[in-house]
Amino acid sequence: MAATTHSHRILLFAGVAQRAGAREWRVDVAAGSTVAELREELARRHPWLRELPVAFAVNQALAAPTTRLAAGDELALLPPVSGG
Amino acid sequence: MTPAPPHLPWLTRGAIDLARLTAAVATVEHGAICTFLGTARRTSEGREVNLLRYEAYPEMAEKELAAIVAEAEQRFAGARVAVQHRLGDCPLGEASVAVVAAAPHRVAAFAACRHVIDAIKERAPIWKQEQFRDGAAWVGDPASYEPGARPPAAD
Repeated sequence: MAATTHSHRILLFAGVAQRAGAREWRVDVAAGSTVAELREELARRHPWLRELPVAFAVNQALAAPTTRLAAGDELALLPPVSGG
Repeated sequence: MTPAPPHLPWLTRGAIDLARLTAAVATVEHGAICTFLGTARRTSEGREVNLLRYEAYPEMAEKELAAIVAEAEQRFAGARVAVQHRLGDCPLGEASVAVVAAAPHRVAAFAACRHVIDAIKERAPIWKQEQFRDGAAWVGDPASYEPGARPPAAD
């Protein structure tokens, strides 16, 4: 039996959106996956991500690598910020 | 003290209206108002910039800016702070960000203003792209430089 997966939308910004050529990705992750596991999965698909110090936001707040993802979470990849 | 009115939009696509921001925080209880404007500079590490372009994760940026202001108002007695950050294209010489900190006395006004602009630069999910004559790069991400690069259009 297949493990339960959640489909997530991942919002992309600035240099990440530029490299991806897209404003968002959709990925399926196993239920209970962590941010670190998602990062690894994304880096497998997009090796250039390994060169970038990106942070993850979950539900519009910075997330630790150990944060577990739940169905419906809003995810975002944040390259180094440079506002002001 | 007068209750704070609802904050003006945190993010704006047009020019920043400093007079409106100032009016939003000034009261007769405040004897000091300190303003910081970040403006678009022509040179960046020796290269000539034509234009700055900003983008944000708007929902998170609004939350973060509100949290930064709340933090400063709590930390500096009597301070009231207004902030606006510009998105999209910012021509040279125009303000990309404004912080207006009002306080009963100048020490708290200066300190609150400094605290808020420093926190914005460190924490707000906002990105600046320098547009050069022959290409563009996101600040803090030099490998993003692409000749003639233009990001995909924002929603």
